[in-house]
Amino acid sequence: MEIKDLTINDIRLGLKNKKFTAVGITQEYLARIKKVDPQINAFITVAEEQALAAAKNLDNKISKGEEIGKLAGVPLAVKDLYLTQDIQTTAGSQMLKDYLPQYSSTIYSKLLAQDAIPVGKTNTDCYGFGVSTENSGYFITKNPWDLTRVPGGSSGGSAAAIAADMAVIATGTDTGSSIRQPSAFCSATGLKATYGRNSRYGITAMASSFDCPGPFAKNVFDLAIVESVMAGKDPQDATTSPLPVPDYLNEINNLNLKGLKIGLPKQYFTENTQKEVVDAVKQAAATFAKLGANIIEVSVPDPNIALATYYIIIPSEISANMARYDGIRFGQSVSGTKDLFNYYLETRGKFMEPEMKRRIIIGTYVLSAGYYDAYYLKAAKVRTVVKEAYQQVLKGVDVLFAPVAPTTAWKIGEKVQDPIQMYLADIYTISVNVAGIPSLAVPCGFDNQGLPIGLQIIGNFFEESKLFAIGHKFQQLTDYHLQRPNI
Amino acid sequence: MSSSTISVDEVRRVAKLARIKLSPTEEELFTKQLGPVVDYFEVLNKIDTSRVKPSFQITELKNIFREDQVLKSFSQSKAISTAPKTSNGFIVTKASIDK
Repeated sequence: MEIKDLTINDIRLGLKNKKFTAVGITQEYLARIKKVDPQINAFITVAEEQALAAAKNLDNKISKGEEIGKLAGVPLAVKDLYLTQDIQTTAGSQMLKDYLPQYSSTIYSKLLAQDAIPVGKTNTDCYGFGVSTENSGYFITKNPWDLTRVPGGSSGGSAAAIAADMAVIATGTDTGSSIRQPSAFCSATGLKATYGRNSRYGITAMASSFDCPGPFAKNVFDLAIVESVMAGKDPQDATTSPLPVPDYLNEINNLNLKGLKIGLPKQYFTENTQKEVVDAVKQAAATFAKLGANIIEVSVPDPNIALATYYIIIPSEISANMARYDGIRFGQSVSGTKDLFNYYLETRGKFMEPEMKRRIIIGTYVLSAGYYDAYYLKAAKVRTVVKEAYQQVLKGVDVLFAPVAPTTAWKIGEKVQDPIQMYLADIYTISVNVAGIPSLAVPCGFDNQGLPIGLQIIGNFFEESKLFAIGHKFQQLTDYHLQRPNI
Repeated sequence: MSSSTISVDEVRRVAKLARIKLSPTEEELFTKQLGPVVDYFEVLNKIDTSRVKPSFQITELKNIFREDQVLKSFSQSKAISTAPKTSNGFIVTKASIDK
């Protein structure tokens, strides 16, 4: 078995049994990044020094016979929205170029406390504003399956790093699709947890009432391990849930397939979805039907309703959150302006990426005098309608199966001129964010061009355990998640 | 689809509210792009929300308090270490009020 095929438990056991060292594993991964990443551009910053220091520290622990963490020696790629103390954190924006945070995000600290090895910070659409990494202020990440195509986004760098074996686990954030859609495009496994399950503290905010940090891995079992480390109440984030975190690994094999009810929402299987995507998702459902599950067609609100709701509320929250980028306390700034007003105008005009400006302007527009009731308040009410509709549907079935995205990965540049087309790429993921519920993305096939297809397994609030159990079962029955791009 | 026209003056007004200087090219681009985005929002009018309460968040958590304790924090120099311009332990900025 090659080093790059090792799972979390393989690495941990190998370290314990002295089959290899943490420094050895880390060097292999750093060498792989050096070799492969010039073609992919998954990383904005490679944290060679920090990675080797963490590995050395871990090897010392092992030689002294000390207990090691759940993620011991596991190469971790971190989305560049996560603050990492003393490692540059850009959020994919020129506005934060060279920003060196004084503290770390809660999730990153938790992962390090379990002895994960941070190999670098991954590319993203600036602040998470996009679905392709084309809105990054640095460069576009290439899809490892086809270098002329996008990896999805916004966490495209993390998904590509997983697909190209440059890390074993990665972090992402999913505000509208940003973990699931790149997972689907790159054939990674990713989780959008229930809102409030994972702490947002120390992660640059996009839309605070939607932002869901979460993990990427190469399979559901590893993903469940990472989520068990990430999840839980954080005193620093008042929106985190006080509910106890279940023992995901204990529950992952507790699945009774006989009588399991899988809903297929008919609004997700229309002529607007690529036929191979529809077929692959239905095939996944059929796999469970053979084992005794009941497949039931169900109805959910028109996904366009959720998408419109999202694209009103999200820019509204963004326009407020982005006010902090004033060039005074952190970030880049201009010099030589005559007063504070012009300092703001010039600094924000110069360093903000076009999509950042576009979203702030949409948000400011819909919140401005005379439009609040028509747009923001209306959208907030429709949010209630969507949330209640999904809760109602999930009373009748255990989970929903749906495509992650209507198509497989598109060509770089194909949609950049048309924001609506870009926003529509999120059509099948957004409802989950509007409703606040969890969804797991797993690879479920390839189209006739060899591009990966992703399945969403959607559950009710805090039902991550059930999603892991179903996803894990699916990966025991199929090998899509084991396929690797030729790179 | 009917097309909302958002004028270039409206884009300028909103950009000023948001404290962003746009180039003439950006003004033109955003003017062209915003109309269709706002048109897309029309789909919400199909939903009757006359009896629905708005959701501003979905957690149903309320009034999360903690003890007001003094905890360890950064030194002053570390706290301001990310600011572009500092002086004697303070962040320097342009005056916000005219004399």
